[in-house]
Amino acid sequence: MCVMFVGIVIRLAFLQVHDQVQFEALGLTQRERTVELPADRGQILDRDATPLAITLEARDIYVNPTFVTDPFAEAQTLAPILGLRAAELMPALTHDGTFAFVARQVEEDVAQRVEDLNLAGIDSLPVPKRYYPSGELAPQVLGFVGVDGVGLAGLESQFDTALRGIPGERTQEFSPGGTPISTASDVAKQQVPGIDLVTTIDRQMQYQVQTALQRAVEANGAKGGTVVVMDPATGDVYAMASYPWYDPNNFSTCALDPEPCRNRAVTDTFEPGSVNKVITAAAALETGAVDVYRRFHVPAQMTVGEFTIHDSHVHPVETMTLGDIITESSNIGAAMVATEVGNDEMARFMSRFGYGRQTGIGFPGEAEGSVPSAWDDVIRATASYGQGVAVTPLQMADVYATIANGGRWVQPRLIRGTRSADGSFHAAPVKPSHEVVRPDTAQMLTRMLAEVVKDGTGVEAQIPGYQVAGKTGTSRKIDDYGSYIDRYMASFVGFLPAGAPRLVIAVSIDEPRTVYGGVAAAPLFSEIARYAIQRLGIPASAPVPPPPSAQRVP
Amino acid sequence: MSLPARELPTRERPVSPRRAAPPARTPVARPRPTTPPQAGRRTRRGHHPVFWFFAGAVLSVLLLGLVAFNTLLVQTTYGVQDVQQRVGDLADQQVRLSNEAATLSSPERVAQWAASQGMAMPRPGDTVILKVPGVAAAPGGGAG
Repeated sequence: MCVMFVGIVIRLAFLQVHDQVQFEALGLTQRERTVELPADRGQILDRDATPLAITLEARDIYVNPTFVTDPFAEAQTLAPILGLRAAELMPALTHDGTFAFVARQVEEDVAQRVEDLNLAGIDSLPVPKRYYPSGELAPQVLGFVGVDGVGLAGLESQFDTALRGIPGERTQEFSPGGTPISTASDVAKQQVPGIDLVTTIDRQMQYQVQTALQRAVEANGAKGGTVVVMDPATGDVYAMASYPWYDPNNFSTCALDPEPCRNRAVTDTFEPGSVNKVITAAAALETGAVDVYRRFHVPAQMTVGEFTIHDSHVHPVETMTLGDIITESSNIGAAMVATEVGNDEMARFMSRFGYGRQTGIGFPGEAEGSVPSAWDDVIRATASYGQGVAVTPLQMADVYATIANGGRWVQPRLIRGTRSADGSFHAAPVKPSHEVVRPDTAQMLTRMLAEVVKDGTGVEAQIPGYQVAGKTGTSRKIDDYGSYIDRYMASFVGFLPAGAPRLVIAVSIDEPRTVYGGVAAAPLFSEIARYAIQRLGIPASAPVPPPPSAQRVP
Repeated sequence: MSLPARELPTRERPVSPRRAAPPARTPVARPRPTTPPQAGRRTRRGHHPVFWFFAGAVLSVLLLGLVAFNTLLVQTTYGVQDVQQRVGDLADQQVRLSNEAATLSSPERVAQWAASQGMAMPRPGDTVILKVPGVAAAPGGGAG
């Protein structure tokens, strides 16, 4: 009896003294748990703070296959609830392991219905899921978030770090029943929620733009189309649409067909065609190489080097001023003006207007476009009317915004600012603007562009009561090997009201039946502009006078 | 020559009261106590029952207090948990309602509803923009 007692005492002494540290640690691991406190992903809002992307709680349905006794029966039961076929569920249910996902990010009510079935081995986990409440609205701009919560495209990708926030951590001691022990240690690192992004997108205008674009593409039997609507004074992009598009709530379609998932207004380049003539004219006016009253005798075609370039229609030799060349969109006239300007100045002005580099709008995968690296007579001639150079629709809109803005370049932007957790708005820093051309040059270009719409190739863009300034463009596309093919890009870029511009709209239609920008793209410009006038309450302005013309020059 | 040895005075060691030897018993009869023994006074054989009663009462109160305090803590913990749960639920509900509001007010849904009610977007010729001539203010004009 005494020996037993002594033995117990010795054993106790060993446990309590010798092994104390080890058992204390063991006890702590049993009752102490560290859980991650997930940070809420920030919302993406339109310019009026309406949510465009929001995170809600969803559930992942998982299975422990070792508990599943009849996989086929369970698959048959689960399939209709999850909207899947039983065969699709079988791999998970017969998985060789203890864990497999059955369905990811299902709605909570669906998960509840699954749990109510009390199927062996089936359970669910709470997970965040990104929702896009407006559906197919600006999907390429917003992008999407993968099932693991990482932004994979668009603004979701560009601002992923800021949107995601910083997860926290909490170490607590729990009773065997799972209740936190209030007097025990409780160390918490507070999570920092992601910031809300306030975009420049106007949800209503974006919808109208998309609706009009889809209609125009279908009416023209085109392959697709792109529209950019922006404020020239602030650089705010009100709407940015590329058709065809996709539903970001079902982004898995992008894996099968990535074409509709690209924001082609920013990532794709095209040869701008005649909309580029405005840069030729700007270079001529700014350098003083061509006077606005100077007359050019413009034939219908001209030989440059070993190539023959020609206007879009046959005509006798015409006397044209620079204004007439822009109004009538004469390729030969533009080439003659470019000859006066010279290679170096043409290259310099394309660069000053932002060709060959990103606009800095802050979007993943933004293309730089391309400008000729070495200039000769042929390159200069073709570049003067927008062939041989490549730009994005956004770059083209940016060029016209600069002219509308009195010659000053303003950073185009998609983000107005951020909204913190307490609801306060913090405006995004504004990049300093700079002068690209003198105000008088911009004013003369505006007069020329207004004449294009009033009496030139862009009459389809007219809006009664408003003076619109813009330029049509029709450019041949190139194939994968760099050769021109008989497929065209029709475009119209313009702004209104010409006297006090409030809006720049760039429209391009890819491979329309009617190839001319004035026919395929200008009506879409007009339709969008009419809506925008009402939406933004844009008043008409005093008209700008026409540019000097060969008919009016004494 | 040497001095004669001094005799050091003997110092009496202080005797602690406890260790003090009891006075020698003498055959003289002890004086009779004039007052009866007081209640609660420590006796040689143990404490008075009242002491035990009070000590027990104090310990019970302390124990009860400790239990009550712990119960209160646990209750508070449950309360905090409950409030945290409610805050989380309400935050979730707020986000769900925001999503619902955004979904219901989405332009596509509104357009579909409007179309189902027979409404249509104006065609280009349907909207007329009127120019209203403005009345210029008289220079330096003012009331009176």
